[in-house]
Amino acid sequence: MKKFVIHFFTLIAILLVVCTFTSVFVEEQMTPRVQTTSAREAGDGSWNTIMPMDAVKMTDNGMVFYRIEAGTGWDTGDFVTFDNAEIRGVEDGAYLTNAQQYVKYVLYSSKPIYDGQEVYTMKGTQTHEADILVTLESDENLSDAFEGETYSLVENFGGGSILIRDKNSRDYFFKEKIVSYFEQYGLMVKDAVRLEDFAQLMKNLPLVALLALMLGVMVIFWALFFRGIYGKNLKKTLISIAGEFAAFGAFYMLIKLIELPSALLPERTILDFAHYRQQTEIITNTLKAIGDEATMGLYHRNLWLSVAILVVAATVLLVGLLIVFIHKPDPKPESAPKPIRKKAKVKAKAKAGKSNYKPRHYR
Amino acid sequence: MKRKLVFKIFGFMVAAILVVVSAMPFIYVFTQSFVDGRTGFTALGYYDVFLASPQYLNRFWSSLGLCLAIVSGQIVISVMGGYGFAKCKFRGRQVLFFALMMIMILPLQVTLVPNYIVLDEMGLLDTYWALVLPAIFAPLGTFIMTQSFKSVPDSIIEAAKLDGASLPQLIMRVMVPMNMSGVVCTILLSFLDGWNMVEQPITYIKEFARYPISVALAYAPPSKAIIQLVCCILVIIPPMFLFTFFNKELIEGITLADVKE
Repeated sequence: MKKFVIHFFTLIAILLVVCTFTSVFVEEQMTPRVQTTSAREAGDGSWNTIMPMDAVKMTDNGMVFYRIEAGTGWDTGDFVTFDNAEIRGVEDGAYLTNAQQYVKYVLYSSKPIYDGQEVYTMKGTQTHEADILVTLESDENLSDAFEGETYSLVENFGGGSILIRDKNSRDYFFKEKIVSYFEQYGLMVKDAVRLEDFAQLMKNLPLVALLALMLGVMVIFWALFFRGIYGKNLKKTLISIAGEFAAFGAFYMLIKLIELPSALLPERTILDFAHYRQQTEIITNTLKAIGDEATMGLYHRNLWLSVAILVVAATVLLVGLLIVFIHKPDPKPESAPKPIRKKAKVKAKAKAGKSNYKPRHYR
Repeated sequence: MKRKLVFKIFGFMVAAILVVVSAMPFIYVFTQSFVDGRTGFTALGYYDVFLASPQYLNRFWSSLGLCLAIVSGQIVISVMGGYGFAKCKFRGRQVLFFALMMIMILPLQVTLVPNYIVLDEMGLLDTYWALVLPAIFAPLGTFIMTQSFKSVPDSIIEAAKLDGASLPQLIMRVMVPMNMSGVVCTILLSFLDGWNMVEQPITYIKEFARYPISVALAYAPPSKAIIQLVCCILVIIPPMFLFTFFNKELIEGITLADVKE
């Protein structure tokens, strides 16, 4: 009973440590990064702010934009709550809205935000430039400009200018946002994937699989630790403890290396596998449409590499569990030969005349 | 024969009812931790506590560290104090032991204000020391160890002394191994005291970030009831381990009546 209890709870302790490391990582990845702006004083003594059109959302509560609030208690850090937007005018393609003094409003977020969500506030303003793959529903009106259905697009959120690059690497500049531009021509943007996000995801996929392998290694050392304890083998025990800590260290270092693209992550939980399947379909379809064989090759290589690592991890995990719960420890090794060897040495010395040892029958 | 069988069945039924009644809160917490009022069955509570944010597990580890500090401090004080009261003959020993018992009888709330004043004078308020120091010097451990050491015959101590054992050697190599059940009992009770402490953190600590998980649980917003329930499961893990692992020693330690010959 005691053995089972100690096995079970040490395994739980290992999992809790792993969960602690992982939760730090998940929080960092899932929390949207936001850029903020403050209110400015209008001439009549009231306060207003300029919000980009993307920052004002149409919801069940009407036109809203989000402000930053400091959390208390369990909800430490910043989180967002909505304010109803009162549009007072349009300036340079952005809304002039109501605002309160000393309050910070969300200008841009790395992924969609919702009321009550925790966010990281970025200091200063940054421009967001990225290559985006855009798949159009139809290309009738733009067939002269673009050859095919899929285009690479560079968007600058800060200036509002858009660069579209076709598959022959010809660039086309637009002043408006891509979505509103295409809507103007009666076209719909079906899916958009940032190329840099996709590349980042591919780079990190094998690392995520390696995390699972590290978990398996931890379980193996956990199993070896108990074998060392039961066999009263100090060396094995010490090696397994050192190995366990090394595996923890490796897991921690690996998880620090992983940086998943915020835009490709699900809104609510990182374990939303349906979302990943959908994203994978979008990515593969878009890549097929472009005919980018090199990227597809890289994608498949990394995918299969990750699957192979996961299979190894699962095997290692299973072996670790089998060692502990099925393997019967070896009987305690007896250390009897030592004194015999010592006696033999003394006898040999006596034979050589170097010792005053006499066999018992001479005494 | 029939009467015996009836008594057996009756005893079994009473025991079964007792088990169900005592296990009911745990069963309720466990089942409800998977139920969301809106969506029905969900494991989102577990996701939120164990994966989405490190704040719950960080608080769990800091509370565990706090308890380990309390337990290790109290075991040193209890073993030394217990040996002194049980085996060292000095004037006023009985009076001092009586005073210790009196302090043990005092309700915790009575000692909160004097402790607060002392900690304030020492500048330790709003630090972890404010929780650790008063708990280390709690008299229950010393009482248990005194009773436990009293059961060791003096002849064994004299024999150890004749063999050349110094006082620390005598305590560490003779008294503690002979009274392992008492030591385990002290460890368990002081750990549970530390793990379940509520009044002390509320009184001595102002910053929410320093609250142990036992207190912080109460501050979870009602909208996060499911998270609160999952945190309860998390909180149960260390005491459950200690009780299942040391249950035999705990029973022996509480009886405290066995004479070691």
